[in-house]
Amino acid sequence: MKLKEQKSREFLELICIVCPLGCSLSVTKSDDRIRVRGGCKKGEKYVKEEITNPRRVVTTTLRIKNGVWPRVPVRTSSPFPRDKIPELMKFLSSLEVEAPQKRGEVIAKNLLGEGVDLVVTRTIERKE
Amino acid sequence: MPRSIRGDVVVIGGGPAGMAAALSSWEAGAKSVFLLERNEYLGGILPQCIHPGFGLQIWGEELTGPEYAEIFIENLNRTGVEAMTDTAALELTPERIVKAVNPQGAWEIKANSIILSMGCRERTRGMLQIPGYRPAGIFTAGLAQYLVNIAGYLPGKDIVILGSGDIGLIMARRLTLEGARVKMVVEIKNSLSGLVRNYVQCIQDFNIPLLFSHTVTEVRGKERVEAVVISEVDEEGNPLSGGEREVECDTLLLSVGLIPENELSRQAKIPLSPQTGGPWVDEDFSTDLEGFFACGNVASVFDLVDYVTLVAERAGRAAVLARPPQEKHILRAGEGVHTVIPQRIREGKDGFLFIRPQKSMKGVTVSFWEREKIFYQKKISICRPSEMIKLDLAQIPWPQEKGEIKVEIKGTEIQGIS
Amino acid sequence: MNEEFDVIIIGGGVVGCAIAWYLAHFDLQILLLEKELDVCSGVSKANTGIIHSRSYWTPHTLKGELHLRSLSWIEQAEKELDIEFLKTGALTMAFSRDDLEFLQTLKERGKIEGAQILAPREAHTLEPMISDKIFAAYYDPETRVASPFELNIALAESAFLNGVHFILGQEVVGFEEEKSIVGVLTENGKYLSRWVVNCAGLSSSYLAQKSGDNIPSLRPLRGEYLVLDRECRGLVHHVLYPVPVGETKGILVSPTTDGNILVGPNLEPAEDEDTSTTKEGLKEVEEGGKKLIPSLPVSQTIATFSGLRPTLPDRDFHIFFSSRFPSLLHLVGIESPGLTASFGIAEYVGDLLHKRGLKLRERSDFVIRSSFPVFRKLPWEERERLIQEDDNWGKIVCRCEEVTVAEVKHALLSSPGASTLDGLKRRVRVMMGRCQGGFCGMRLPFLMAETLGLEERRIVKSGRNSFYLGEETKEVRSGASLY
Repeated sequence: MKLKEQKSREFLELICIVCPLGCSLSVTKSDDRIRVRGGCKKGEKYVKEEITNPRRVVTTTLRIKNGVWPRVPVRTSSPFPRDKIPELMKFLSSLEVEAPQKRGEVIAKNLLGEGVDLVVTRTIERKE
Repeated sequence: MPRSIRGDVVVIGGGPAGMAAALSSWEAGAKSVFLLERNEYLGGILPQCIHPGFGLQIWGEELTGPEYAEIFIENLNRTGVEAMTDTAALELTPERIVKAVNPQGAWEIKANSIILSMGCRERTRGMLQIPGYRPAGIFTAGLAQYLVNIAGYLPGKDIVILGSGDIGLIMARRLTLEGARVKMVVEIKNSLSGLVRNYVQCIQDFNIPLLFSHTVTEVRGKERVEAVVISEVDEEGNPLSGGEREVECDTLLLSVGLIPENELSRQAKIPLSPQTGGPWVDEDFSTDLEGFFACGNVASVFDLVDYVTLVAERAGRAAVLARPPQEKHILRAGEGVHTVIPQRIREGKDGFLFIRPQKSMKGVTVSFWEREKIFYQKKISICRPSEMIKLDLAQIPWPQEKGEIKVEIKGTEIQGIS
Repeated sequence: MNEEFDVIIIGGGVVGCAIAWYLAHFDLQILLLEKELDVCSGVSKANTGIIHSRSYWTPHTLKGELHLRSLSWIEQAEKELDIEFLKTGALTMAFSRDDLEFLQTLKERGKIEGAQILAPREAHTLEPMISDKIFAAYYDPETRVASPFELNIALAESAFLNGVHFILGQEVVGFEEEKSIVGVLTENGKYLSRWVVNCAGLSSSYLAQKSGDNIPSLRPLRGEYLVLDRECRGLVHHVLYPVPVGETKGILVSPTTDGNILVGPNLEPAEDEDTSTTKEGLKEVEEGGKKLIPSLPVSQTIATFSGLRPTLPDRDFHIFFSSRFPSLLHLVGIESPGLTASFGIAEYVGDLLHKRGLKLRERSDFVIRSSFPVFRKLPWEERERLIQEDDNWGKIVCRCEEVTVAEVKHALLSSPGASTLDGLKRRVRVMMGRCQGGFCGMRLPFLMAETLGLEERRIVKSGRNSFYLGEETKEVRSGASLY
């Protein structure tokens, strides 16, 4: 798995995902200044975040022991730093939880020290 | 003998449409509601859609599929709706008798109203007639999604995805996160089938190549897929000779469209629309056959589960009210329109109209024609085939006299992503 | 296995299984060896399934002789195997005055009561959807349709029930002289038998060459097919043949025993065991079908496949004893009408072995097979009764073909049972309907692993290496640089 590299470049082309318009945005970056052409105000805010600190809600599954299903789906409690998602996936591969698990419960805290928790998204009963 | 029961409302299919319909029938005062689901759990496809993006339209909160489903399951548990899981409806008559089986026995259920919410199925390789061998390793995207998210297996290691629909894009990310290598996504059209947001977060984030105007023209490998041949296509989607190349992979995922499941509707002789593949319905999602309602993807493939919930709630209420038949406007898809749903307008006072455009366009005008004149126009900035245009029926000044109405979309075509 | 068999049969196709079934009527120790993991995995799995009537036999050939001989077995086979061939009848469609002569020939060859040459209007009364360009049509009331899988598997099951041993997944690689008997060498060992019958389909000429016999290599001729959704049932009621150009029966349109419509086959040379389909081939099949039924709904295609005819240059069956191993009988070039002729071939093989000294003492304890119920075809009262007996009858695993867990488990646990997903498909029609496994593909591999006590990842589609599942999830071992 390889996430898109986000090196400090002078020019960037991004697609805005704030609304369904999907505007193409040209971004110029020099020192700390970020200039955005194309799109709207909301788009500009999106781009600045996307360049300085891109984050994504991560959804995946964990192994679950003695459950009616072998996997329990989970999500991060808030968006997680995008560039650390591969490391997060590796960490989550090492986890195994025990059934039952209830939707909404926090299953792991402060993932990789990023202050984001992991939440169960489907109740998995214990296998009889 | 099969056990015979009677119900006020019988809902066939316990996915998002069926759950919302059953719930709203109950809340509207139905004395008995049976919800038949062939799977061992309610929720339909939602429990395997572990990604976020559900619920924004109706709750203003972004949920994952399993969460969205579980809220409905919990709500249903608080009502008297009888949810029969592991129950397969096999026969349906115009007299509103459903025959079904489950591990308890064979059932014959007579209902005052029947709500069809059987959902849809995925288009297959056989339908596309992709030539080559028939090895293991060819999966529809939804089947692969079940295997990964619920059963805990990857479909393979090196993957080519045909079709840029949302399930395909989402599976590209999901498979990558689980350590598979998605070699490319191939789209026969010259524009994205799924949402731009999914392109950015599922494809761009992982540097997965996406090829427009290409398709898979051959499957290689006798036992397990060893490679696929991809070819460039012309505007009609016909492969151009000379542009073929082989891509090594062990898995081909197909995300090439959905088909409403209407085998039971056909048995009951409910008139079906050739455009949507589902029954013709009005704003109450009442079909042309009295006492039958159809909501969700069985009527027309929707892009948001939120919309499915909205229309199913209307169907659930209408099934209890059981209004008598009356004359209705008939909506036809005109230029630029792939499908409209509903295709019948009873009064047009409340409810929604969903219009799926044929192409991605900017500077769009939606026009409503009564005979030779336009009686309503709506301007919108952009439209895409992946996103239905949702209008409030009450906004539209429907003509007094019931008759045929044509809906048309015009604008400037967009290619590629944006 | 150290024991010595009376007869070893190489190949579990319809011919091998028919021979096993026929010989099982006699007091013999029989072993059937099949290189694939299941019977009905080669030539027999992909053909039209038509039981051609006597109108369509080829005079002055061995295949013609055995074709006719086979037809007299049909009723006994139906009874003993508990299967039913669908007596659809057939129309052979002539498009010009010149074709009329051929229709006359069919009529004279068949001498079938009720057979007649019809004017276009009469033909349209029988089959309203056929082309209005026809000049005349020959109506044959005796043509039947079989499910090639059902017949092949029923023969195998009946043979097993009557004591035939089956070893699947073991390829024969050669023969060895062992005094007066033959040693059959496989990948993993040697089996001894007084008599050996090589009916290995596409591999039969290769095996004959291995035993030192002089026979040309088989030339596989491929035929491609389209299968249309059951929603199209009622479109045609009879088998529709064109008047052939050349040596095969041409591209036909036929109802199947399960209510689908089958279109094909075309004819094209193929590499050994190349069962792929091609764009051109499928197009040719479509056009051939549309010649007979102009409104053929090809958009309702649910599957495409191709099959191979193992042909010799003279296009006849060659059944002969090996020159080096006097008790080794080769069957080479068993192509169309191999399915129709299979009972006749079996009886003929029995006669040949008997003439050379095989003792055929008829058994008094031959067991009649009874086929397992098919849920989709049962009345509701019977469904209710079965569910009360075993609740697996109330669990539908395949929505399109309405197949229950009870039927799947039976297909897995019967003998010779399914050990592959395709084997299940051929026995109970799972994954064969309009969704082509989109739904039941979620359940079957797991149900199969659980029922057979196998690891889930070992489940295969058909061949040994056709694994259905990949690795388990949650095996992400390194973070950033997996590729």
